[in-house]
Amino acid sequence: MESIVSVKNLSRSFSSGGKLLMALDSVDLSISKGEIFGLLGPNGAGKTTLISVLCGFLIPDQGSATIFGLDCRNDSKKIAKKMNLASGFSGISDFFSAEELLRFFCYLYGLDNIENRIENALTITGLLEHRKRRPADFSSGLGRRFLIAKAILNDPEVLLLDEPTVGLDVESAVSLRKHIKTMKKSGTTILLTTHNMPEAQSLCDRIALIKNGKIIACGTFEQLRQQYFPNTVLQVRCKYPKKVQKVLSKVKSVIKIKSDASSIKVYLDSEKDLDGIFKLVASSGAEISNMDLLEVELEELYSKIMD
Amino acid sequence: MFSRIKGVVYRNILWAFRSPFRLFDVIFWPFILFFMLTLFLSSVGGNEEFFGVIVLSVIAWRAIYFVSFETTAIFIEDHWDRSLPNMLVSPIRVHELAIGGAITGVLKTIVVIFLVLTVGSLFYNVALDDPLTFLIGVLFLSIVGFSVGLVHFGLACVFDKRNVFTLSFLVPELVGLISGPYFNIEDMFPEWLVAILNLFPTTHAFNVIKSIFGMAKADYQMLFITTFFWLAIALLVNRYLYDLGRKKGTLTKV
Repeated sequence: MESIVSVKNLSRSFSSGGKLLMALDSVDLSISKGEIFGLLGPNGAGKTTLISVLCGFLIPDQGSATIFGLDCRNDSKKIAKKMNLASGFSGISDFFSAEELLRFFCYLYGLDNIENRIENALTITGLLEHRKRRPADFSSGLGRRFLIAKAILNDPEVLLLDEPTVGLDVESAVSLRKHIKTMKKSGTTILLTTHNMPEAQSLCDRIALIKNGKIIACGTFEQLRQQYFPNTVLQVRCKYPKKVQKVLSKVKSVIKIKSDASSIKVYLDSEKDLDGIFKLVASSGAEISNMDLLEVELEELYSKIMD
Repeated sequence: MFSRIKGVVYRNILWAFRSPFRLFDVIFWPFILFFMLTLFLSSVGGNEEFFGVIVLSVIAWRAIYFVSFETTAIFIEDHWDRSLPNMLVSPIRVHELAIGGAITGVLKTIVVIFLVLTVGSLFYNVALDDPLTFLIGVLFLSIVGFSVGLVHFGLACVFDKRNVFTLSFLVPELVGLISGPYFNIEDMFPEWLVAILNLFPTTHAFNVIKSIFGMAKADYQMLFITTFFWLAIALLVNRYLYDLGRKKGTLTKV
């Protein structure tokens, strides 16, 4: 796949209170065309610093960042024509209506068919009826949608979304995610930062986890799961969990067992012996009410990798 | 490039009509300055020529202020609205942003020229006898305003934007004042200060305007040299500080 965003050995430090903080530490990553790439990490991990470098707002101490093969340091204005940013934390200028501001941004991007573009962006984001209102007076949800409308005006080939759904109600967030998927289908490459794990899991083709400026894991969800959480987990709800524990304690593929008063979690190193294990559990006399293979969620995986 | 500059001017014009602060900048404050001086002059029995100097100098002084302020304002005010990343991520370049601001400043100056001349002619029978010379003076003062604004813009990329905003009010006023808008600097200041002020393009631009009334001798060569020397320095300083802001991480925050 063609790499659209490429970051190589990128480092950036800041001095804070006499100490040198590494906001980015030898970061390498590559995002392919049409991919939704999730960048996850705690506050201060370096996500926003990376976005600042990609936008050309910040010059790295070392390494390089390129988009469309153009250097983000020297060619940021060439890149800007085909890129856009929606940051959940950025504000909106006072005094102007939604359509006036969008017109202003159309001028900045040198776009044609301005009125059609404005109408299209407002329609997609469900803001058409609010076009005459000032975004500064919008609720936070409408404000986020306005920033998305701004970000899609130039039909960007690369879209940087910095926590786009922060502060959105469920309906708006669902609608925005739907739109992000539509953009992906039309070939837009998206870099998404979020603290919302289900969102990242449902949207992203690949995920990178960043901590203290370092990428500590990167891959598809399945690759990460296999690398960091290879166990199969069987959950059994029953009246006598200890009976299950007893029959499974000598099974080779069982790595770990956790139990409480009404359930038991059995960690298996593979799914090979599952049939035999089901039979053993069923015949344990534990009065089983339910038996499930648990799916590992990104949130669990994230916590494990970050620890 | 023109589309981007047009965008900045479009937004600034809308802004001027909707923000009382910006509207008063054009229709109120020039008249405060104007009447403060002319009422005093009336009370001490000044002649018509003095009124003419004051009317034209009020306008010319505003030209430095408007162009300087507008060159910087869009950058700083967008920072305060936290919308600066939205603007800087677009293809607009720093000089286009600054030129858009400067054009807004020139448009504001044109409005003030019209308003102040109208009021001046109504109250004090002031007439613009030599419009070309006057406009040359205003044009060069606008270029100086642009230079000052570029330096402020650069400073705002690196230093605390609140302090730079204060400077953007203070410096054009100070530069205007010491350049002798209503008086000859040779009559008022010591020689060493006059020598320094002769390196200010504003001194020569005000001399051009005062020359309409025979109050000073216009030195067009010095006006041209100093104006474009200041502009060249301002462009370099702006570029340097913009890059420094990107290095230090003070340009903007996402």
